[in-house]
Amino acid sequence: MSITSLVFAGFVLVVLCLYYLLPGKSQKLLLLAASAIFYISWDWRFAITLTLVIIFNFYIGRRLHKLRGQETAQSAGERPKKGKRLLWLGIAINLAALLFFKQSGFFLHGFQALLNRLGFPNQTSALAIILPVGMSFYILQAISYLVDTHQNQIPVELPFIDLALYLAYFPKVLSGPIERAGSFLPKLSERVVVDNQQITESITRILIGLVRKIVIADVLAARIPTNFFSSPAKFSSIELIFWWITYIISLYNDFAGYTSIVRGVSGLFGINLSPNFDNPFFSTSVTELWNHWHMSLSQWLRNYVYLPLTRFMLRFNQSGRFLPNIIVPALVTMVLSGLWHGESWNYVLWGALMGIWIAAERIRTVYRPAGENLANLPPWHAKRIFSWAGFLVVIFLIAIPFKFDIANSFVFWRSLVTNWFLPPSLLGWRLPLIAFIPAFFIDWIQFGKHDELIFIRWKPIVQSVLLALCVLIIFLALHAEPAQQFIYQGF
Amino acid sequence: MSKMRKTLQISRPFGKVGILALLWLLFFIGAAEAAVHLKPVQSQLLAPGVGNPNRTFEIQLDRLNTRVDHGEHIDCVFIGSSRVLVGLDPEAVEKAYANITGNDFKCQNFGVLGMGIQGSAGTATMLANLYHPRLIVIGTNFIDFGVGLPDKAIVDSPFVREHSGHINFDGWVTTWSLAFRDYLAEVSYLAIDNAQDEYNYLGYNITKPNGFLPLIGHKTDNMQNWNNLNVHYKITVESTRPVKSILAIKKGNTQILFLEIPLRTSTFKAVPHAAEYRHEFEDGINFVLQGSGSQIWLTQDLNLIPESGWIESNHLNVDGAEIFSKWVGEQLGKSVKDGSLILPEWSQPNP
Amino acid sequence: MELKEIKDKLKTFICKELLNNPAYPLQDEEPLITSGLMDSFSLAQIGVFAEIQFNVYIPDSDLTVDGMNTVNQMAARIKKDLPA
Repeated sequence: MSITSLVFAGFVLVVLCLYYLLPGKSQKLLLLAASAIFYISWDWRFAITLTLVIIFNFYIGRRLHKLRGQETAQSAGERPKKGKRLLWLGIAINLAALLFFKQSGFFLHGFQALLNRLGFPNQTSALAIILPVGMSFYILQAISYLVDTHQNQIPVELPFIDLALYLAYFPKVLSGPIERAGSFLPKLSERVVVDNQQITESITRILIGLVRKIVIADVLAARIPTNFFSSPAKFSSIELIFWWITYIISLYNDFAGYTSIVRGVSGLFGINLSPNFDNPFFSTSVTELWNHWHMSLSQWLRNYVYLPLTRFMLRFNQSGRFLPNIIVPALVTMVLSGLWHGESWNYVLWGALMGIWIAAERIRTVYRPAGENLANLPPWHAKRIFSWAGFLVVIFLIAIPFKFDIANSFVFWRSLVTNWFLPPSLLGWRLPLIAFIPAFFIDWIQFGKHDELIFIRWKPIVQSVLLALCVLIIFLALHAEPAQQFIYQGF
Repeated sequence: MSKMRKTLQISRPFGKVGILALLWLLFFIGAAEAAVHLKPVQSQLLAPGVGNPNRTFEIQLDRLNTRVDHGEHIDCVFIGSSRVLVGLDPEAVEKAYANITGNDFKCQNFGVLGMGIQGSAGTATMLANLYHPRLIVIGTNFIDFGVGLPDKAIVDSPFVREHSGHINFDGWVTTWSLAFRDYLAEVSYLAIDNAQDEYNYLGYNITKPNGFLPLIGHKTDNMQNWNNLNVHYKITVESTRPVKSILAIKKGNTQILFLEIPLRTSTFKAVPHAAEYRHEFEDGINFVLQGSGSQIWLTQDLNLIPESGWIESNHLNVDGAEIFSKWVGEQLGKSVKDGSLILPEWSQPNP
Repeated sequence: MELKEIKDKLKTFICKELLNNPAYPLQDEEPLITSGLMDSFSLAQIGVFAEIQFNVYIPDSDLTVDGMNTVNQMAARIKKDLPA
């Protein structure tokens, strides 16, 4: 069930009606049942994996909770001691499950190459293991639950239904946001009230999400030349820049659109999910970007990888200027982020480049002259604009391996330098340039007021015009996909 | 209701913005429709589309629409592939028909590039439902029955489905909104990303108002490399199914006639097993037509077209089209006169 | 340990190690991270400093911009879990 389909809209409406009619306790059961139906609609086999993950983490979490309760003599400010081994076992098994499904493709390719060398035919389809949808997200949340339980962030023993809902909640099960256990779980026990404001904000989020996904992301994605990622050398430098920017804008609006829709849908149930994006392209550094792009993942990596690793290393050498203390946590965190995103070496390269650049920014911050603070300068100050421009160039370049395989990444970088004199074909730019307009408009307006929902603060007459235009352009964008290439026989 | 209020607590006023937005939406749509109906605006726009993957289909529909909107009674529509598009000149057919019968007989060419028999079937159904022509002539030969032709997309487009008995929202909007049809044409144009497609997209506008595309020129060599086409021409039961759906149109007020479009003799050397395919085509069509009351006029063995009448292996040039069209017009005239082809009375097209 | 002593030690550490300016006139309510004076990664150093200097473990989940943006907030957090 795609979240932009009419089937999904109908499904949500039905569940909503029942939800509003039911009393508090039954609402959780309804949500869980709806989540099960939603997940099974993708593939019933995936539901088995999710169920096993829920059951496993429930029992580990329960045991951890009991062990924490036994530490009665300790003071509140001490590091938790009991349950550490069990915690690490729980984390390891969760990660092993994810690795099994995710990285099998990583090793499968090498294994298949070995088989070929030994004279065996291709067995890829027989060996392939499909990653259950959403697994990358709910495993991280499961780990969050175990760690937060161990650190006493979840003070009460969690009922099974709460944990099941935390991991399987249908608006966020596919692609997040990755909710922190300690902050999401209390929401399930709070009394839910859905008033005018909540409904308005939720519907606004859904509309913004639909515009991002249908009008911007889908239209742009369909226009990128089919051979762009496999043969970058065939494109002029200008085309490489244009189509890479098009891809990034498409990717951003696709994911931001998805997040906006699911936050809106969840808001209709009175459960507010965390934001994932905050106008990331107005960042002035890669470090700042990761505080505004896929924020829930960044928070997770920060809380469960970066901070613990940094603290671990600082305990051996307390100096914040000690280079390994700066480089290792950044590099490890971002390489893990790369591996989480995809199961091939280009993601490792992407993560490594991000990590190196973040470390470099950190080194610059640590060694900067005393008193220097860019944030004190007005936005139009030359230093800030230069910093922003520099950031855009850097992110443009180091993000390449996210989509291009390693060989083509180097071809892209090389072609960027060598292909300036290839004549660019500008014909295919028209529709993307039109789609850039709403993309820029939405982010510029939101950033200007630092308010994602600025549109509903405007006068009702202006809101109504905007709403009408939204509906119209969504309908038109759904019909903007031109005909597939038609083979003209004999002519 | 009291249980609903526990969670859902909305209060008035609520929905003011929504109602206003609905009014604005109606205003925008109305304004757009009014604007595109203005001649100065329409003259600046491309021929309207219908969301069909084939631009010649849309151009041909626009040509037919324009004639009907001007009050012309269209008696006969020729449907088929590019071989019909360039091979049947309605003017020549009309003239020859009038010479025999003394009556007017308005014809329209609805040849569409790359349209096989499946596309022709969907198109014929749609045109019969919309325009009620007295006669639909399916111009075809064994090439149109090739398995693997990608013309299903023509039939599956919302507009064609709407007028083939499968009502759908997109088809309904396309039918009733000129602004939307103009949008479809313009957005398809904007999405073009290479010069050749742009040339084709705009170039099909050289089709005449009666849908005919005259080609000037003559090639002595066979231009077509048939081996490159990943299509199988062997006639099967499956591939003749569209013929049955065309015959179902006869239940309405439209007569159906199948007309074999001849091929240049050298084609039978260029295409492996061509003679065998043609033979299967002849047998297959005759088998399906048995007892239906419809006929097929086989023309290959009549050797109507001289060598100078071909632009290449399977398309007529303007000279060949005139010869062939004159023959068709004469045959139509004779058949109507001697009663072997019965045409229903003309009826008003749908608004 | 008194709150003032905790604040003084924090300020000394922050100015010297994180701001690279021992003479900086850091105020108790001055926002450190949201103003850009230091980045959120410095919170890890604050966390380890609290462990070593005050024997107080602040969990990673509490090392947030919202909860540890000013000297006052940091000192209050440390004081809360200070061993008796």
